[in-house]
Amino acid sequence: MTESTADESRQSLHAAALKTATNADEEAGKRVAAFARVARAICDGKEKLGDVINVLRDTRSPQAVRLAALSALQSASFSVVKFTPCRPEYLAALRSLIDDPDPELRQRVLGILAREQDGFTQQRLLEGLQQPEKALVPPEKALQLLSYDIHADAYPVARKIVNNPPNPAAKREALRLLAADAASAPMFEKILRDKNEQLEMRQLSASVLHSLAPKKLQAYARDIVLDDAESDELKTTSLTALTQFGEETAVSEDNMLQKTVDSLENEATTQDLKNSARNFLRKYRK
Amino acid sequence: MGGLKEDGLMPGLPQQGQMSELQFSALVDELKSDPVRSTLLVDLLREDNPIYDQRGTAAITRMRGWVLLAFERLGLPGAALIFVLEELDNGRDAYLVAAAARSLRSCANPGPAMAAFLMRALANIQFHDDRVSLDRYGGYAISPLYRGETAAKENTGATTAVDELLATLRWLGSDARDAVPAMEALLADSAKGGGTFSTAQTKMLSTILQSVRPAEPAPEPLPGCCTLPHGIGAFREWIPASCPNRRKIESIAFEDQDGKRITFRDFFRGQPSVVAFFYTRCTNPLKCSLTVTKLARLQKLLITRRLSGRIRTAAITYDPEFDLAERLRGYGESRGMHIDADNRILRTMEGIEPLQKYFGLGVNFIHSLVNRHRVEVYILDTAGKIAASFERIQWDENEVLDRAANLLAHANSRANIREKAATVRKTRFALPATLSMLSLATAFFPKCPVCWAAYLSIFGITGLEQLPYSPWFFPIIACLMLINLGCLWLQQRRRQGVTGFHLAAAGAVLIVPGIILELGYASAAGILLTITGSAISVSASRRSTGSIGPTDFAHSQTGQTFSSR
Repeated sequence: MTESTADESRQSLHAAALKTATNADEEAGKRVAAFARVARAICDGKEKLGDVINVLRDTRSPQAVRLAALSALQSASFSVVKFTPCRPEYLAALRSLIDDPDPELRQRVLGILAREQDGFTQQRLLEGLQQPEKALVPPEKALQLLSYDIHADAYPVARKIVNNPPNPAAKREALRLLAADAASAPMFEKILRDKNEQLEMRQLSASVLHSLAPKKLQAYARDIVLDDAESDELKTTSLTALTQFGEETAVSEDNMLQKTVDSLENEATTQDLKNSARNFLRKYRK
Repeated sequence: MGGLKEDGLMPGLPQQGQMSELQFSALVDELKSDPVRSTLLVDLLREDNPIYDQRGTAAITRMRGWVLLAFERLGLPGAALIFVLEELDNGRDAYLVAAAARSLRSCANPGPAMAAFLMRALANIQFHDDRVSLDRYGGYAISPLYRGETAAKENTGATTAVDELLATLRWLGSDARDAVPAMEALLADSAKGGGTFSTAQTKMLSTILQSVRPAEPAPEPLPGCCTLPHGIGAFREWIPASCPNRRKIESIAFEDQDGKRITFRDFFRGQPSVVAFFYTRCTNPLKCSLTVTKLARLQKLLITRRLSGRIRTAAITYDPEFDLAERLRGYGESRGMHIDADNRILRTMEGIEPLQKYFGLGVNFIHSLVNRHRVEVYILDTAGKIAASFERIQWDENEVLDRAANLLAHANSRANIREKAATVRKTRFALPATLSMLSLATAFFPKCPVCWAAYLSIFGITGLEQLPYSPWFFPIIACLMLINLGCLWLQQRRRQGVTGFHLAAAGAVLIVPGIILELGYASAAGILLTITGSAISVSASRRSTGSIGPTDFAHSQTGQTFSSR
């Protein structure tokens, strides 16, 4: 079989699959299976793209078929050069699905657009965080999607959520979003020092401070290791920070710290902490 | 800044932060329908306009796009052209690029130089294109709910950045002739399957190409036909007085990529410098990343032209709170920057505001994060004053370097002039002093045997023998006496009189053992005989020649007139 014949054969198979996938009278299972085979053919012509987009936007189609259409479009978008002429139409269609009644489809569409740093999507997500009755997705999901773009103007609303979180997941996502905001460093210091805060939030704060204010983290990490009342998990995090990023001269000459870590190596109740102490001493023991 | 109040706000505008996007779009609509106030629209395109303070990037995109589109109806004023070209040159947002392309079509004076910007915009945007709506504020094209229509029908009224760029290229007509090779390359790429245009776009590009491709070789362009209007794409010259807050800026402290502290004065004084601004979190590869890469290229040119170390380079971050030393180093190194004492990447330790004021930076912020900025590079003179800047569109490394090299040459010539002036000043004071000293030395120099004898006597009278023993004292006395005897000998040969010489010789014979054996009377007698011998010789000389003046002796020192006598 020559190469051109093979191409023709493949094209006719794709065309048949696309016909099945976009045929509203066809059985849903067959359509879903057909969509899995059409990705390469979607951008062969404007009409084919339009047909797939119409299936995606048709609320009368079964959910599985619509999701399969979306997956086919996503797969096609990986062939950047071939898909580029289809891109404007694709994005405009996705925007029209932001308010789709199907929450799963809506969330997937929002995810794709948020990764494109789409201004319209950001606007709608922010609106939903400020006015919960207009929310398209739960607040933690909205924050996660907004965090794809540091320029999204989400810091003020994220700070509000940290201070008054609707749920712990939303607070965690708000903190993650603020990890890129240098002005939030004092807030992370406060959370790290606050023993009443959840361990997860404190650990998150430690990792954020490593990025925003590494010198301050070194000082806090030392205090945490020396504090008997601190949790082993946080001590482990702090010791790891000191081992990996500590200022070598200062840490190796810190007798009190050395002595404490010495005792942690033998007396710590968790194996993780013992291992961290061992690694620390391997690097800094005098 | 024309039309703005001192605080940077336009008269009649609500305070910054109070204006919603809806109010803003209404304001733009109002301005574009008011011929008197429409000039204020250009001020709304400046990044540092306070109206953009504390807004997200997406909001600024919507706002600026709406301003650009306002010119579609008004006609693009000359002052706004640079903003349109900037968007075409560096823009990566489909809405803004589409708005800029459409806005350019309202320019009254299209020119061939615009074609290059359109082709660059096509290359920049082709992989980021989007369907946009330019007829209403916001610009996002959203397909309406599906009711069985075809997608093509639904999106009537919407456009894309590529469509708008092609329409503008067509509008340029024969002025797009210079872009023919680039258009041919795009079409060839498309035919090979590497193109990124739709069938309709490819067809449109072919049509444009056919219409602008010259049937016969184009005549030589007239001088100045293909350049941008005056002031666009040129360096902005700064006059020294226009550099504000000089005293404040001198003490501004920076931290470099190694965490070392340095002040503005320390780094920017003494040599010309090239300064570029950037921040590591910039998401537009045509701005900060390219700027730092170009600065690295400029450093290589400095080495090639042997100017390394004589012209400094600095990349300063707009985002000093986030861009810590380690980040700066990583960012610079990964873009090929050479880093040493004369080439640094800096963050201010006192906030960006003082630098913003001093350089007049085209940047705005949402908290500490940049929300929009322009491309900008500055050339500083040896005093750290801004001599020139290049803004908005891409700068050429060679041109910037030429500018800095000119400053260096100018500084060197000024230094030379200063050095010469200092030399003249020195000479003015030193020459008379030297001449005076020479005159004194001449006056007091022993010019005749009497002088010699007198000086020798004075040494004796003043009790030189009482001075602590010096090993060099005796040889000097001996030499002086021999010179004295030599002079007397020459004189007695000319005048045929030997008494003076004999007396002085006897004096010398007495002085020498007097000094060696410490016989005071012998020394005194020797000095007396020396003086007497010298006096006799001089008086005899006066009788035979008239007189001996200082000039005669001075001449004799040269050995010219002395031998002729």
